[in-house]
Amino acid sequence: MSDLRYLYAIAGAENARAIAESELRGVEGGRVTAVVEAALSGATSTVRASDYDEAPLNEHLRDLDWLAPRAAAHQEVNGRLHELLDAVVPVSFGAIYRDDDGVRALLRSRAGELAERLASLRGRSEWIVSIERDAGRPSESDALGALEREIAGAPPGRAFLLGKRREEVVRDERRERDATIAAVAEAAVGTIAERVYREPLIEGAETPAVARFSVLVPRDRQPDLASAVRELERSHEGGGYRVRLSGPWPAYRFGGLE
Amino acid sequence: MSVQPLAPSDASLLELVDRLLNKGVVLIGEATISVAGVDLIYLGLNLVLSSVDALERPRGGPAGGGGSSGGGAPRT
Repeated sequence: MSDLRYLYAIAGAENARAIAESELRGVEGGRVTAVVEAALSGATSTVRASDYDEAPLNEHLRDLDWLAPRAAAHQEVNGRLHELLDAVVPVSFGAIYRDDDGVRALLRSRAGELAERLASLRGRSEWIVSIERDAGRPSESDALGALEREIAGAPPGRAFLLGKRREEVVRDERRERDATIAAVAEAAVGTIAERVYREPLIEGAETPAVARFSVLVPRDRQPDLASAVRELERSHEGGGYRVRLSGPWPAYRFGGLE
Repeated sequence: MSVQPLAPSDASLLELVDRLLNKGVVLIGEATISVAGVDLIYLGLNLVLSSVDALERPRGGPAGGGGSSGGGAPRT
């Protein structure tokens, strides 16, 4: 019977009209509208309390089939707002308010902080740079080559022990190379990005990432970021790494830091 | 050869949730219902999603040295 307000993002009050005219549809197909309070506006849509009140929502979140399309819709709204507006603070999935007054209360109580965040994001985008090991490429160092020749000529017992040693060397060398490329990458993107944040790796992700960085980059410097990434990949071609660039994202990461 | 940025719409579900739930700007005020214990949910989801991801793209192809972009993320 009752409806709730789902909040996607916060922008300046001067953007309220653009939000209203965007004709965006939210997580449940409801129209995205702007709730204005003083200098700020929140992009919201209506959702049913039977699905989005605390208990049902947290129940739903365990259900991947329920979550997937809604997470995509949340990002779609934020992605479009990020395209349309100069500055947006994206809010994490599932921030629900009783009514417009709840949204206004938030905008009021955090007005100063939100205005600062908006200013720090104006004209900028977030990107993800991830360094991945190219699984197909075997490592070959001099030390390893020598070890392998020794194994080939050794009697079984000794070859077994040398094999163990070989595994160790492979691991150590790989760790060292990973650390090197991560450091080189951090420095390279750091010349272009205003802010760089080294992400914890996604546990159990299918692609074996060595390092991931979120970076905040002025929108007009996107080509520079792309060429820095290209350069990085080229310079380490022999090293067996791939560099992946993903974006532009609304500033989910940097909108929330500090 | 060319670094073709991967659009957010091409991000895997795991990446998406990683951004939206784990990294998303959390603004919890008194008026908010909001997702409770985002971290816990995220941890659980992470497990579910990574196994789904693994199912969806069985050991991705060698990500074409040829034309296309570097990633093997599925479209959602």
